[in-house]
Amino acid sequence: MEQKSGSSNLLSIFLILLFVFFAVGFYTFYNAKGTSYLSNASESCNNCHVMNEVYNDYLAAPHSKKIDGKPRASCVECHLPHDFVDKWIAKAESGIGHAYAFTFKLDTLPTNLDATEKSKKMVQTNCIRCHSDYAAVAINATSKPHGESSLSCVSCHSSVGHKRGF
Amino acid sequence: MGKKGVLYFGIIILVILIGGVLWLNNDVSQKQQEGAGGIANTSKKIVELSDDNPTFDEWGKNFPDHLDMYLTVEKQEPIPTEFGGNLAYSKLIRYPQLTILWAGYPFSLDANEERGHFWIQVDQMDTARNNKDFLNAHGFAAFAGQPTACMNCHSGWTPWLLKNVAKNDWVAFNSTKYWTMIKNVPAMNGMKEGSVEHSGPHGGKRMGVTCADCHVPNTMELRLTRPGLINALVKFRGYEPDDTIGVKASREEMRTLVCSQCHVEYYFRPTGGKTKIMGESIAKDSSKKWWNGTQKTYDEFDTWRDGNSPTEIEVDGIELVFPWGEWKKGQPFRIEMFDDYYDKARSVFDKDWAHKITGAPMIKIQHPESELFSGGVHAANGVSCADCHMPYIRKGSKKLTQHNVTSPLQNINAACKTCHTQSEEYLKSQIRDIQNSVAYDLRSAEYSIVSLITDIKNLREALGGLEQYQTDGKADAAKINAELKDVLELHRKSQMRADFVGAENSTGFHNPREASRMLLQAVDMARMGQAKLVEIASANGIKDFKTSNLGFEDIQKFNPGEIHYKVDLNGHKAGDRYYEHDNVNGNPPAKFLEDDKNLNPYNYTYVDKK
Repeated sequence: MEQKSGSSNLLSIFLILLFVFFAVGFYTFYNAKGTSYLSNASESCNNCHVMNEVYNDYLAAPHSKKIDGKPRASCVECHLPHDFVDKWIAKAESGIGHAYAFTFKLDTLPTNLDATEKSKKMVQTNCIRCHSDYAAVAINATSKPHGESSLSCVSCHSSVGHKRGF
Repeated sequence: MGKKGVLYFGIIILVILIGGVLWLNNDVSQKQQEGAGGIANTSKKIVELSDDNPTFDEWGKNFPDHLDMYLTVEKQEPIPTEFGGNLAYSKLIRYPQLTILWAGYPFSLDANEERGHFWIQVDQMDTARNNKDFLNAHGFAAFAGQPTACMNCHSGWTPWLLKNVAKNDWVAFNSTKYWTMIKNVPAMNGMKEGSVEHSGPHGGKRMGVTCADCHVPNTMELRLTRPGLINALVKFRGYEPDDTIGVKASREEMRTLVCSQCHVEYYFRPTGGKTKIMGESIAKDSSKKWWNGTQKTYDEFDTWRDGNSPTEIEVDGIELVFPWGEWKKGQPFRIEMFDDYYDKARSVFDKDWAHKITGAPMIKIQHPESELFSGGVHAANGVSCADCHMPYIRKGSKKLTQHNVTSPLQNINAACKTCHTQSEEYLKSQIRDIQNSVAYDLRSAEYSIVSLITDIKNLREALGGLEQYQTDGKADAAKINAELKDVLELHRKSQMRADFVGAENSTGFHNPREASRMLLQAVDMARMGQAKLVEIASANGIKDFKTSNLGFEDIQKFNPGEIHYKVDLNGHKAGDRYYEHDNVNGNPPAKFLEDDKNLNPYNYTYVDKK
């Protein structure tokens, strides 16, 4: 009997702690505006002030212009793949990377950020995805990626998304 | 492990996890607050700031992060860059040509690399150029010691002293002896009058540039506090004065103008009248003599001591003036504007000094960053001084303006990459290429001017041996000067150009095209001077006259070494090192000398390999 009641006491503590864990977990998730990251809204990218300049640039650039209440392109429309599975894998990957860097590496982050190779590829693919009709007649942009030093769309059209940060 | 064991284990894990999540939540909240503006700690007491206490220690109470940045240079190991940095090695050792170019002027005795805004007043107190007794004992007795005009830029106390000691009399302030004015710096922040701290750099007499020099106390708005710049902008450049910020200008302009308070060419213009200033009673104490036996007129020390007290005296007035009369608003600066300005000013100010070897009336250019920058590609694109030298940086999750004002090379990412998207390595190599190119031009100009000086010296001696250039059987300098007039003008103007680029703190980077253009002129003028010497020699029947062409190796023979006492003076023995700070006035890093050796003549296999 004694052992059983000791065990059930422990179980109650365990359950209470489990409840507390979920409670603080959800609160932290809420406090960190966690749900916003599940959306496609550009505002959520600007939760981090690190993005302030880039976000302001974006607001001043043509892609943020709203048509029928929606911007021509949001951050994720240029910066993430559009295929469902690829998109969520990429989103999870960069989400964890950003959260880690923002929590532990903030002091060593450079003032001005550079796009990674992976990110540059995603952006290039997205440029073509929307503008292929025009790109196809303007230059041979799609068929031949020409090596490391080749031009990308943003090499010339550097301020359509935002001026800084690539 | 039984059921109980599993539960214990689970509880421990949960406690750890909860602790972790709570820490994370706290971290998230803290960073959100910081990002919102940095005023996270609301329990902090805000200090009321005013011009009655301009010390950075006081202002830093409200802005601890900014104070930390500003004070970096105090403790940090000095960082030399190829053509600058804050390691205060002797420029005369690295560039011995300067001892010839500045012959007869105290700069030829002592010129070190700068150490930054924090040290600026310490360095002025220490320099041999501001040590009258040392100058007396080392061949420069003709120099009267620095006036307060020199202190305009070096002390954060300048506005306070101008208002409270000189009673807003700008000419009186400038005309007072430096060592007299410095005695009046008040003891603040709980310091004792005359204590070690009161003589120190933290709010005391050796305090350099400070927050109040550029910011309005209650709003932190940018402002101009130095009359030298305000006068120049209003009189010469069409700005309207403004009671709060100095002149009416946009914030963008102010981000450059606050630097232009000091980073400019200037001169001390005689007013032509007498002015009443503070003197020292030591002038009447016949027992107090300088090393060379002349009467002391002031005590070369930073406090009133041994019964020495302030008196009132009358002296010739001087005023700190920027020679910007020909440089109008909205125009890029051109070196010819200084030629024209100083030519017009000749009746009241004909020279900074007479060159000891050639006799030419010389102008010493100071640090004309504002002038050179004004015509460059960065200025044309609306970039301000602060954009590169005080770039936005991140501290934790706060965004701040870098207040450790330094070379942009120290943080290319923050300084350059805000606009330039190329890699840091690429940007650095572009800067290095520009600076190497201008440094080559500068060395070419300096070497050709030293060659000209050498030739003038030789011809002066030859002419002095001719009867028509003698008075009472001795060479007559005035007669020789008259014969060499055109050549001496070429010496003055070519050296003014080389001096401009040499004194300007960017090795041409602030405007490479203009720097190269004026250095080409300098070489042209120096060589033209040599050609004229040949003509004069020939016209006077001097047959064996030859021109010289000095290079790096010849110039190295002029290396003066570190400064040492030549005589017993003020408690120091002959042979003692002059500077107490070990890293001031020493040898430049050996690598730089190797670089210089390979730069002119241009050894592309070395220079382009780096």
